[in-house]
Amino acid sequence: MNSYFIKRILYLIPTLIGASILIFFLYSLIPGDYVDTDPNLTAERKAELKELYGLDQPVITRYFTWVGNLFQGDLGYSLQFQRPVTEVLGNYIWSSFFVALASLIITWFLAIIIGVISATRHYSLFDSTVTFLVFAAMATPSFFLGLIMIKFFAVDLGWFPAGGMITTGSNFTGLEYFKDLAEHMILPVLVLVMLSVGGLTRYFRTNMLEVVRQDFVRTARAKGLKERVVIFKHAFRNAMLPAITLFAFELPALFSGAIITEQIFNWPGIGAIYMQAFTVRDYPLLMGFTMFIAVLTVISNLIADLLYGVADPRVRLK
Amino acid sequence: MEETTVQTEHMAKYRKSNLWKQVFRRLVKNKMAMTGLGFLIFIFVFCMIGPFFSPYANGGVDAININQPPSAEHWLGTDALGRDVLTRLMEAGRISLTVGLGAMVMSVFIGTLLGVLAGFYQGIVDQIIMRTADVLMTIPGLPLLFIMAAVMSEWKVPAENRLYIVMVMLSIVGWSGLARLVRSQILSLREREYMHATESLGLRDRRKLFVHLLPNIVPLLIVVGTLSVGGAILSESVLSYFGLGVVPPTASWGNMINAANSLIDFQNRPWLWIPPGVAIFLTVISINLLGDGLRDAIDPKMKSR
Repeated sequence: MNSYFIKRILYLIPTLIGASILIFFLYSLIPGDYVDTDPNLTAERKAELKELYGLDQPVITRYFTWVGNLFQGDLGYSLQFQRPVTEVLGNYIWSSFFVALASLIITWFLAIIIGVISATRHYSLFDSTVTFLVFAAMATPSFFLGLIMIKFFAVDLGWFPAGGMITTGSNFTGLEYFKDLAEHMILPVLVLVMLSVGGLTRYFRTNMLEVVRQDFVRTARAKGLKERVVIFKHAFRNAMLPAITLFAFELPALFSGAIITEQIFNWPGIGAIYMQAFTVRDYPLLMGFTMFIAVLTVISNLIADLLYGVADPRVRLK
Repeated sequence: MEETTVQTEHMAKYRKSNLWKQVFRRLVKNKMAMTGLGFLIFIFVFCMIGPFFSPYANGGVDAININQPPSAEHWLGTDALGRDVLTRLMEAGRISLTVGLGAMVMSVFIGTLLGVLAGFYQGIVDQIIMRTADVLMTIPGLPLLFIMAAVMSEWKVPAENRLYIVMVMLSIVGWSGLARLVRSQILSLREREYMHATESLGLRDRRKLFVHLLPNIVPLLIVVGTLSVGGAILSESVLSYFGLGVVPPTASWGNMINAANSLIDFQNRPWLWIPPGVAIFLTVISINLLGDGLRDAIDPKMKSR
């Protein structure tokens, strides 16, 4: 176990180095930079600024400076916000986090319930409907779903605000503020839930179906246990095991922001900031954030593997 | 010797046709998959042949009839340049379907090639290929696509050729998952007895690969390939919607939805952006139903139930 753990951690190093190289050189491939996009600057001022931001250095030197700073927890300096990238991330990441967390909780809750019921009533009308809806959810482009929701619920029915995080020009406090925030959150969260609940339901349903056919479930039934006990105490727990892995995989999504959904709903989260930084060529912000997500992905993969070994001793870690 | 090879080849052919016949029989029984297939054929005919029957083909601009709601002449209305939306929908479909299929072919080709190489030769080749795949999978797909799109936008590719760029981008992002799958298949296949037999018979690598290993992963490729067309169409629509994929005047389903970015079109002219969205939805759901049916038909063991 211990040697496995060490091996896995060592294994992260080349992956992260590879990711940092790929990220840095991809961004340095994009022609034009922050200074070039501003048409109001004179040639001398441009040269001055480029020197200040280190844009006149060769790519290799810039890469090593960047990686060196990463090790000190310095993700760079956002050109657009004129603040350190870590500070910008800190400012915007939480609004993304709450939307992601709310949709994650609702998605898992719904997916577990629907998946289990669907599996226990295999081939019933409920099951077929669920299967169809799952396919529908996986075939809808996220931005289109967002647009349809805004058109229907915000424009036509006027039930919810069309976008943003709080009503513009309002200065609510306390409970009022919270209510306003919640109203703005409903549609984006709904879209995110609709998009992800399908795949997850399918996953739980498949797992549950697999477990229900196993011998120990038959034994439990043969012992004369109530069906509810068989399903929830014996089958359900085993079907949940692989979900632990999946849960760890969801970790990066909590912080990465939903680029498309945030863009459509004008939600001031990290995804929307990412798109904005993209238009003005704010590379330090883009690179810092992409690297941050890459690190999170790698760590969550590791956590997934380790947790699975802890939860299910039948899986031997080599 | 000559005769035996002919004979084995004959037998192989016989067995193969039999397998596909079985698959076909199972597939026909699957109502969901057949509905999907039917829809797909309809969409294909609609997009490929439809424009020939339209009086408004080839982007006919009509300054008098701009922004008309759906009517008898224009079933889905007209856009800001007076172009018939239904015709544009068909023409956009050609592009979106082509991108989806092209991206699938390319990523299946790259993924299979690299996966087979990694699984078959192992060692350093395997290490290089799989570590590259790992790195690609560490970076979120959408930002990666956006970056590539920005780089490639600077190449000043003419609008009508942008779809090939999009195909290349999607296959660069798409190959890694398939390569992993193929590699693991090859790794398990090479431990089978018949592969040990090819070893002791002293067959050449090329023969082992093309005659004994590749045919065994074809079913997997067909299923994954079918399903990935849907994914590619979705990704293309996202890119084109954000103006980073296929760009006007060439229409694609994604960039038609772009009309929704104008507030007036979004609120008052839903015929401009809802039909392409519905078209994407129907196409992708049909592809997924067919792919799922194919998986069940090809290998009942893989059945998702």
